[in-house]
Amino acid sequence: MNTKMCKKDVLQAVILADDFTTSLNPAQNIFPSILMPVINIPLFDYMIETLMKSKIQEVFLYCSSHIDLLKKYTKERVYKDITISLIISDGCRSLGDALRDIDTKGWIRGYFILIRGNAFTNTDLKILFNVHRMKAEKDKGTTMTMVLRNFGSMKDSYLNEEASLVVSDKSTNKILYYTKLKNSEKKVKLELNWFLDHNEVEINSCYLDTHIYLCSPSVLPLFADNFDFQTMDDFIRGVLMNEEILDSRIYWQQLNAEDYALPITSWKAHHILTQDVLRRHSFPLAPDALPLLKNFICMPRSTYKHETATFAKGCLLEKDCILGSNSSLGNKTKVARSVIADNCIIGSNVNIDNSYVFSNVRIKDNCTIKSSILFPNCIVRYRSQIDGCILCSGVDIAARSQYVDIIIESTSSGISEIKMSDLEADDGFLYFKNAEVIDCDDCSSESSSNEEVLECDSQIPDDMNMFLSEVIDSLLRGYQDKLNCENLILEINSSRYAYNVTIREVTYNVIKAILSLPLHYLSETKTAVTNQNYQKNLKIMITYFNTIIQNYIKNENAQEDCLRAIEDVVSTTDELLPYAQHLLHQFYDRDILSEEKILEWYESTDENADAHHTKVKNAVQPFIKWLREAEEDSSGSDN
Amino acid sequence: MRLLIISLPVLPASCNCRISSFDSRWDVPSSVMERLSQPLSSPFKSFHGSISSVSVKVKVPLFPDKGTISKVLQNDTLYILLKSCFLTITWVPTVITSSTDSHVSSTTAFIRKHYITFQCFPPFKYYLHHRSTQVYSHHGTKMNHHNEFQAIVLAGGKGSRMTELTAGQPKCLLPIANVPMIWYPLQILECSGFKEAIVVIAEATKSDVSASLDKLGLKIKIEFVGIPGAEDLGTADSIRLIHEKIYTDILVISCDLITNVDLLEILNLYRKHNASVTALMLPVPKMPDDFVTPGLKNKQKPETDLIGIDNNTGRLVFLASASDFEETINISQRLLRKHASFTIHSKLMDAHLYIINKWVIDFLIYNKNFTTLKGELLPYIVGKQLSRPKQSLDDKTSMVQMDLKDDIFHFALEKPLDELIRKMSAFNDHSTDLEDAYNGDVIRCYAHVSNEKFGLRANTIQMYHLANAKISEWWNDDKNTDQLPLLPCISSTATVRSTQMQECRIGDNSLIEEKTSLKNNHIGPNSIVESKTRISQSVIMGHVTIKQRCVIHNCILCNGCTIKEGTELKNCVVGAQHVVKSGSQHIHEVLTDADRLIEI
Repeated sequence: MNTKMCKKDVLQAVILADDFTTSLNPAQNIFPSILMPVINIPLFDYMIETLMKSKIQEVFLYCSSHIDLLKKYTKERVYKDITISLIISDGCRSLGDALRDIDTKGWIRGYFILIRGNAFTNTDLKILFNVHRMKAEKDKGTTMTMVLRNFGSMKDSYLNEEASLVVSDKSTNKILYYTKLKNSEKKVKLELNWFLDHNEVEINSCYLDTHIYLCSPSVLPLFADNFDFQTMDDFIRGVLMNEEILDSRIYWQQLNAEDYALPITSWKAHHILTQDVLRRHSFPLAPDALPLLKNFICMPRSTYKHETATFAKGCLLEKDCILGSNSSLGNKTKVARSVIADNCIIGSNVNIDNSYVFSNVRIKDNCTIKSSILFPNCIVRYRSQIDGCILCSGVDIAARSQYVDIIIESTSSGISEIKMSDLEADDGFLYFKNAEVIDCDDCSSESSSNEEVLECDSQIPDDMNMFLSEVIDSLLRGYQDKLNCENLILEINSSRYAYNVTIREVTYNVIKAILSLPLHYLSETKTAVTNQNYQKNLKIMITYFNTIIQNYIKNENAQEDCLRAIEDVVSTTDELLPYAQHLLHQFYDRDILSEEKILEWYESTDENADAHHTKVKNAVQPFIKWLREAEEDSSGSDN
Repeated sequence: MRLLIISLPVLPASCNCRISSFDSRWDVPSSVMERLSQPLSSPFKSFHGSISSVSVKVKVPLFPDKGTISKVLQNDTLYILLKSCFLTITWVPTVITSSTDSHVSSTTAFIRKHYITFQCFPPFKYYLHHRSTQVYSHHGTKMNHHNEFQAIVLAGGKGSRMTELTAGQPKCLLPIANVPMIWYPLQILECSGFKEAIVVIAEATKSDVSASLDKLGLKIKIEFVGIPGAEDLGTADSIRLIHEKIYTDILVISCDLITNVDLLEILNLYRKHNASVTALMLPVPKMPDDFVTPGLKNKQKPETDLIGIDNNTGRLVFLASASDFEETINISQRLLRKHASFTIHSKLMDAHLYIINKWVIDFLIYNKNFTTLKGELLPYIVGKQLSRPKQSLDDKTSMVQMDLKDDIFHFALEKPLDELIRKMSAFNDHSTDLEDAYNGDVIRCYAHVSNEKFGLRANTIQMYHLANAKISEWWNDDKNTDQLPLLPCISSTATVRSTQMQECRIGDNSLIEEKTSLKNNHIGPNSIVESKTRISQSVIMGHVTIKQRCVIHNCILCNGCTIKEGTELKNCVVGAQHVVKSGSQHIHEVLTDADRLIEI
């Protein structure tokens, strides 16, 4: 491509009206993503404003669905300095198909800006574009530059799921690897060669794809040559994998820190975007600044009201909300963090919180609307309660009805309901109500997970476990070779000093070892582990090791340790569970455990008692009952 | 409208604390200034005033009890609490009495004529150096003073990566520009104001090292600790060996580190964040194109460290050796989420200069499984930054207690005052999430990356030779460092009869005959170079004899070796006491007495 030619070329942008996803269910059935309303006006108007400011002269709008709607929309508006041409292709189902189609139609031959239908930004694209052109002049293989916004840590954000991992060469910003971070994956695999081939490799998880791509002429042919590129992610992955064969490189550029961009990839993102626009983070794309959002009265706490909107007595706009033209609020109605579009009539005593009410909606008195989206022409009748729902166009909600987490559509026969929980699984559908951030691995799993944080971590064997396994070894050998228990005690004591274990720990571990010994013995003799086998062996072993047990359990503390060991082993060994009460009985008969201690242990309510421990206590209940009865008997006889 | 909140501790009325100046960023009107410069004693609780568009509010929280101050002083540490950090405070304490507080001690401590200026950003603890403080107990005896850091030089290594050279003498005495290697780390310590250093060294070599250091005129007081027997102790083992001598945070430096970085920068990084470990990272030295390593030709792959440093906070978040991985590196999601932007460097090396917190030493002493600092302890601690302390589920069950004892968090405890400061401070090291400063981590590792200064570890023949070749150039480039040791280029006791000599250092009592040509060489003491010999780019240690008509290029000749007449050596290493037969020619060879190598 001749650079002189390029400079004469007009700056072209391609907007894909659809984003070919269903993550904004059911919006894709109602309008293409580019017509998604943000506050009162479609995304398209914001984007055209940005494009005009960036002095882009020619825009191609690629329409694949809702074509009539788009045609009508573009006809209504008159734009200066910018020509908008529609490329119409009904039935195109993916970004890849769309770009291949554009390639065959041959409308675009030079550098262009590719904008996906759900993008929103206020940045000057021309500056970004020129940087890309410069880069392309230096490196002929520059295929595409992604525009990424530094969002900081997304850990606590609604956009947690959007987080992507960008591995790039620090000096050139060449992308080496790009992927979405999935919370389910504990580890991310990176190739060693990336680090060895580059001096400094940046690993970022703070960047958000703005859905704006600065493309070189080679992008379209690449799509045309590779039929398997369906989505942008496919394209990026494909190009990065075959970087050398295709001689194509992808770079990234950071969005200017003062500028704003956020693609509407989910209802959560839509929610954040609306809030940010209301708080004027996206200035000049903000109410009262944008020509299409004129005539709004700006009030404290980021609340806005159109000149023609009316309030009844006692109604309250709490914060971050906007009321469109000709809408009205009834008495004592409260609105917070919500958008109410044009021509809506809201009755009295209505509570609207975290919700989006599109145009021509009627909400009758005493309703509560929370975390919901109401598409145009809905009617919510008297005293209804809606929480976390999406109401499709024209739904009529009967009086006194209650809906939670449901998508409601109106069909010829009435109302059809789809539960949100059904959708979430497969479609990656994310609704903003469920915004509790799921930490990738919570504190509970932390201690275990961080052991493998670094592969090269040297594992430090736990002294305690070493001691336990040594005790098990000694006992097992002692049992098999029929050694004298006195000698075994000496052996255990010497391991005790070797591992610096306290006497209480010794008791605990010895009991633990004896109880788990049958398992080791059975596996050693290659006998099947069954309840009978286990119990039979355990009984013999307890008799055999009686001296040892007596040696360590001499006082009350030791008894506590013994009980604790029993509890721990029983809760983890299924074979022992039915035998637990007999075990206690046996220990009781041998005067190893005293009645008081057993009862004390049984009655102690451990705050952290989990299911296992209650399971243990349930298992020994008959014995405890017997013990108590015996106690009463004896005390009775005393009297 | 922005609100600046300044909180100051209540100091005892007798101590005269006042704010003397604001940071220039805040245009403070004189009326406010006047009010603020009143002594901050008890009646002064709160103040409101405005600084152009900034409102100033001074809150004075109460210390829990008066004893705190004296406790602070007993630890020889001064804490200052500031909610916001745009202030410079001059603190003029006169007399602090703690006699009322019986359980602390009945001593009366005085701090005399003592002015400290705090640049309170970030508002963490600042130590008083004992040089500037004079604290006396009422008995008049000087209280036991502590240094802020102890310096430890590890010189017990056997030089296993260059056995050809270390067969004859301990690694730390190998000369670089005719000065024993160990002089370089000691010299940096001295320049940075260290008065004492502990040198850990093999017992057998103690006297040799001590004797050769005595000649070099270092002012730093050196305490030698010998490693008994012929044990080859790991670096962590060496620290464990001398643990009884360690009473505070330490600076560990290896005897083979040749660098001119400014230690103060690293120390300040450590102080600033109250770090657990701070390490120095240096760029891997670039090999000049014409540089050839003497000795056998082998493609020795240099070790590559992968060092991950957070882009915003400078935290050391990842540390591993590339050889630990085969094709892929697994990086935990937790790391990616916590450090949203970090860089992994593959052209940096860990210089083996660490500043280590006392608690890490305690952990190291307790946990005997670590044998090396760089290979085991450091990666372990860096990885542990991501963990949280295990919740002590039930203090009654001793099982859990045992677990905790092994756990690093059993040692990594925040001092109560540090915790208080952290909670009261508005300082945060990162701004993109809602976490506390340092994400609430007690374990914090930092890396100081020094790009301008030179530095290498002379632990392979390649690096050793490079150090010798470049040292004069590097050292003279840097105007701040002193000239190389007082030894002149050519020793006064050396006899030089040659007329063709460029860029050479000649040691004591050496004899250079006439009709020789010497270029870019370091020639050690008591060596003899006979006539008609040409030597270039070589390192010649002590007591070497080179007979007539030899040609030696780019070689390392160890102590006491003899090169007979008419020998040609190119890119060779000649082992200690070896005799090279006359008339032989060698290229890229290691010439030693075979049995010597086997011994090793």
